[in-house]
Amino acid sequence: MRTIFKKNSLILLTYLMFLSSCYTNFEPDIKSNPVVCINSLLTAGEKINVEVTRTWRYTEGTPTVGLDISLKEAEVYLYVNDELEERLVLRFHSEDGGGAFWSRPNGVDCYFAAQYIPKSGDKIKIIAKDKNYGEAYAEVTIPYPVEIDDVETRITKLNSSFTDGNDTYNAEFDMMLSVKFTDPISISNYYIFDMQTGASIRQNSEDGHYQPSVESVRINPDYGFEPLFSEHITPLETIITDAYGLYTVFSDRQISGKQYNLEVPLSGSYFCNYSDHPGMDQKLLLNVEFGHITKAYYNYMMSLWANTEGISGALGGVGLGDAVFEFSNVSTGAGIVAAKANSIYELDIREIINQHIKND
Amino acid sequence: MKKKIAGVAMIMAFATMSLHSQNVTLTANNKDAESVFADLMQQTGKNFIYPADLLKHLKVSVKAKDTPLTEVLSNIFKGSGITYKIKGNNVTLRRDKTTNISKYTISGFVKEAGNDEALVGATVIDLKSGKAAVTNANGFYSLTIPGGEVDLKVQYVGFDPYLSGKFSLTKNRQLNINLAMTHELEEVTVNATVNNTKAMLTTEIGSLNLTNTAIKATPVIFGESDVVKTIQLEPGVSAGIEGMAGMYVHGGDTDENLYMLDNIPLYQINHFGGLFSAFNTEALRNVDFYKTTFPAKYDGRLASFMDVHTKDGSLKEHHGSFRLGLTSGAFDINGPIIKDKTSYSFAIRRSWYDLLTIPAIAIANKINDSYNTHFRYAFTDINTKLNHHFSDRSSAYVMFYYGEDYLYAGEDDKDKLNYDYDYVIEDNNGIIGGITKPILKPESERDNSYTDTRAKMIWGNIVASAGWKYVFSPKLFGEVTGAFTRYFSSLRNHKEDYDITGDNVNSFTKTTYNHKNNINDIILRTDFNYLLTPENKLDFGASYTHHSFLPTRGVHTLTKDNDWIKAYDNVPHYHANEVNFYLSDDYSLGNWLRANAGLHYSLFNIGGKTKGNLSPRISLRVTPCHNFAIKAGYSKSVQYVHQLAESSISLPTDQWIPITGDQKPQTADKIALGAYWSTPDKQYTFSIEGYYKWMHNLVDYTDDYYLIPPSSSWTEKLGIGEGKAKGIDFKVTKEYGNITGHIAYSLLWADRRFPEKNKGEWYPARFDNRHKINVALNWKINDKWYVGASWTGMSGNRITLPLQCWSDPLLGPWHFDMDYQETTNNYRLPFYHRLDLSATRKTKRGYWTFSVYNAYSYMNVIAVRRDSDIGYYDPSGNYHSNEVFQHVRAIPIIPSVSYTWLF
Repeated sequence: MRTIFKKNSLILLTYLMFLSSCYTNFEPDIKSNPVVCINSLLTAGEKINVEVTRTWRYTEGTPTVGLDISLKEAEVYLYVNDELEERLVLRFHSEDGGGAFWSRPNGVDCYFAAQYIPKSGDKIKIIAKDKNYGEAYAEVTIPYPVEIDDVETRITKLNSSFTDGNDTYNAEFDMMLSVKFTDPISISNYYIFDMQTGASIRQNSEDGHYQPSVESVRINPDYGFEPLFSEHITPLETIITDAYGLYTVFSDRQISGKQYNLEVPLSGSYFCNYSDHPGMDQKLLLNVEFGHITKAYYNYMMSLWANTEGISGALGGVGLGDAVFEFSNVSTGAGIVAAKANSIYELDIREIINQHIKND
Repeated sequence: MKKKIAGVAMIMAFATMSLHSQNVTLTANNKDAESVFADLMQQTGKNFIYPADLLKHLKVSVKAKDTPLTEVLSNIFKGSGITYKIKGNNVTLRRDKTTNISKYTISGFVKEAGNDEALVGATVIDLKSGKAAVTNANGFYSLTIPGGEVDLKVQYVGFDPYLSGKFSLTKNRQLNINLAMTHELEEVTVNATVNNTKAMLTTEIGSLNLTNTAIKATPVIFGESDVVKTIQLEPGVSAGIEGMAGMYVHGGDTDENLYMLDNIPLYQINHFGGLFSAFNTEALRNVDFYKTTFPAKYDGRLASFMDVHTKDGSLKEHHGSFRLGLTSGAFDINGPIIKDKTSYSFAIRRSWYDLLTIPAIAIANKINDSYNTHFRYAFTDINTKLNHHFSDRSSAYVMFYYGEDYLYAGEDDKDKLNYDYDYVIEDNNGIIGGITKPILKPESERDNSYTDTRAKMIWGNIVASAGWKYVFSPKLFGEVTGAFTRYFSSLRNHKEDYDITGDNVNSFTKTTYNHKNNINDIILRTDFNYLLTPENKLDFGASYTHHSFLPTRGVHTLTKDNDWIKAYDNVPHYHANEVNFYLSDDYSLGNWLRANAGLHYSLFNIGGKTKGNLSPRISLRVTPCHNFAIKAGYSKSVQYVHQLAESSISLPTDQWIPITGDQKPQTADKIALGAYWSTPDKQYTFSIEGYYKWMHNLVDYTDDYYLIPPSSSWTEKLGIGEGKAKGIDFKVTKEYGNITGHIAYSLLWADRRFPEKNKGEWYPARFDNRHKINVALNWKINDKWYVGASWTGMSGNRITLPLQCWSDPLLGPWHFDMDYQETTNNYRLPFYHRLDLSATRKTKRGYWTFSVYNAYSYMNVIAVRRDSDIGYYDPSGNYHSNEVFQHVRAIPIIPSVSYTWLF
């Protein structure tokens, strides 16, 4: 999606207004002490991993290039419903199957793991203590999942397809996806929407050997179509942003207590699945994930939007406005402890196409 | 006392020649009283005792032949307000305190000869009594003085003074005076006479009057003269972002200034994001600016009041000019429609960036194979005014202003999608996968698929007003005005995606976003000036305003083939009624004390709730000795509307919103103290003014307002806080001569506290520019060349600089580092300084103006960014990054030139 003013264009325009500019290095003569940072996403029914790090002065270095910010000697405690559940243990990402020096894209190579599996309604508190950087804590309540009531699909255009009469092996199509859910009336709710294209569920052939298949699934959701996904976009931002698809979080401000259909067009979608062994289970999955998230998660995503895509962040970044900061719900102001409960709805694209061809 | 003794001494000299005759013979026709009494003394031998200044300027006409002295004296002093008493050999003269001396009022208008523009702040002095009056915004004056002989002098800097000569005043009289300019381009500095008068005679603290010429003489960026940028050179006024027409007065915010066009509020005063103000210099006559104590007439904002008076137009002949500058052109013309009765004034200014961008974009589009770009920006101002004089006492006018910014931008695909993608399978090191290769489709199969995106934004103001001015009596001047002022902003974003084969539309998606934001005010107001006594002047008036606010109205329409969805931003339309009354009394007790006390009462009704506020104003001036004045003042001001702006530049989406519900209006209490000294020749005026301001119920975005969707009520995004500001403004002004100008220094502390910001602690305001120095000089080299220079140096703006980062939790799109928020506005940008120069060369038909912005090309720091500089490898071969903070420096030297053709 090309927009009229992309963010970079806006910044470029701003700079053009200043005709030219230059940069000189300096070190601000302001003291600032590192504090403990806690990051974790708690998902109902999944194990808890917590990254405990420290903040670092910008000029100190970069975690992805050698700066170690992990607090490996920190004491990390998990409280569930105000009761101490356990002390978390340090684990390295490399232990989970990565290489010896494997770390996540944020440069952090370790985390603290809990045994406890959280469930919806749990009030979770995480406390991290470090002898050098002090203490931090964050508290969150695991939300209940909001089930997807129904998902309707409608093929709006089938550009091309190859079928053998019973099954379709490839297709290029446009589809309208309608995801129906009911917002719980009692509280303010926040959601995140996502779609995952799964490869076909492969089965071994009768002789027990893995059968190669050629699979490719591509969808191009136009999240800009759904007004709830752009509720955070200001009028001016509507002409500078192209990041609709990256921020599919929304609140129930406009739909509180109502049933609502999320409409997402999938334009220019494509799949192919050729197998050496016809007759295998060749489902092509499109998983619709509907996450009920905490307000902190929503706030974090909104702040990320404002900082990276919004007009406030763009102007603040060049000195024409106030700075925009990422949201934190950790006591020190560093880190985010978020929670969500997922509801997943599986769609078989191949079946949808087959049905469409039959109906035509 | 000294004077009295001097008088006695002089008389005693004649005493030795005294004769004791009681009858006198005397003939005098309009002779100095003192010479007549010398004659009397010689004849009578009596001592005449009187204060030295009693007979000064008194002319006597008498014809007596062997007439008793008492009869002669009675005739001489009849109606003069002087009594006499004969006791022994002494005749004592004194002012009669029991008898009412007949006083009469001279009133009228002071205007510029040739174009009949009212001269605001012209001084009308009766040289005989020493009484003076100053013309108001309409050029009207009213001077009540003792009857008898008067001698008027009317002066205004840059104009030849008017000398009435001596004449007898025996009744109220209307006297309209036209002053002729000394030299058209000579007056190239702040109007000396007006401002000297303001400093030395009035009770006003921190007030200023700027003429059109003074504004034009200030060197500014792109050579575009601008009233706001001239005011930025005043002490206590911060400019905000470099190059912008921002105004942050005494620690206030930009929405705390009330900008008026002929007394009618103007909400949006910026063009091009604030690079230029909406006031076309060619259309304005002069500007009144109040930054410290405020006349009771004004309320509705906390920080300052600026009233721009537009040209009325000449009643005698047509004048005009055409200016062509680097960024805009302007044309103005004014003259009579009916000579001496009806005049017109018309001015238009338009930017012409689009003339540059249109060919540039056309070239770019020719080079670019894939899509066309569309871009156009322009701003326009139109000022018109019609004046009609029914009589010397009655006149009416109609004024219209239209200002607009227009931005149009878009892109559309140039070529149809002529490519298809073939999916092939390749064995790449044992990995089986699909890759795509573009293959040109056969012509018959080529699709027409393209995207067309356009956005159009229009924002600006309309002001229409009509007024009637009437001199009810020599002592009472009144004006009734009806006006409509509108701020509007509309944005339309439109995107279409087509997929077409032949005539068949395979797919069509259209997204439109319409947004508008406006304010409409209907205003009725009356203003009166009444000269109760020569020492006591009343100003009073009332106004009613109906406000209609539409802070935001958005409609988002999405169409996919035959499906469509419409979503509306849920922000209501607000209506409010505002009523204002004011009364102020300006009272002089002799020459040494003057007081101005006033009250402004406002009522603001919205949503069924009415809020009333009283804004008292008081200021005093004490003149302990000649050319020296001390002033003190207190002002309270109330603000019911405020602007929500996400940045320090002006955006079309900035919203003006009223207070609602139980929200209290913003208020400010300000005390001020000033001392003023003028050299005896009035060449230099020194002033020092100190102030302390408390601000309550301030409104600002909370730290995390951006977490709340724009469609939500703005009250969710706002915090209510308080502020305080204190400082000292110092200024030396040179009023006359070939070199004129001023040196100003201001010291400022401005702090804010909001519960939702900075953990509830006090923090410095963004434009808390602690020290600010301005030097402005203008030099008339000869009749053809004039040069000007202004130097600005000030402590840098404050910003919130994140020093630390926290780790990305990887919950959203990849983001480098999370900024760790500590204290608000924790870093002050380095000291800012800049020199601007200008030169004006007068020609036969007009004049050239050459200007250089930032003459020594010192690129000041406007922001701080963080970046990675060149890293290094350690001996072990490990790469180390080198993250640094960087000052962003911008705006080098900018020369500009313009030519103004006068006709």
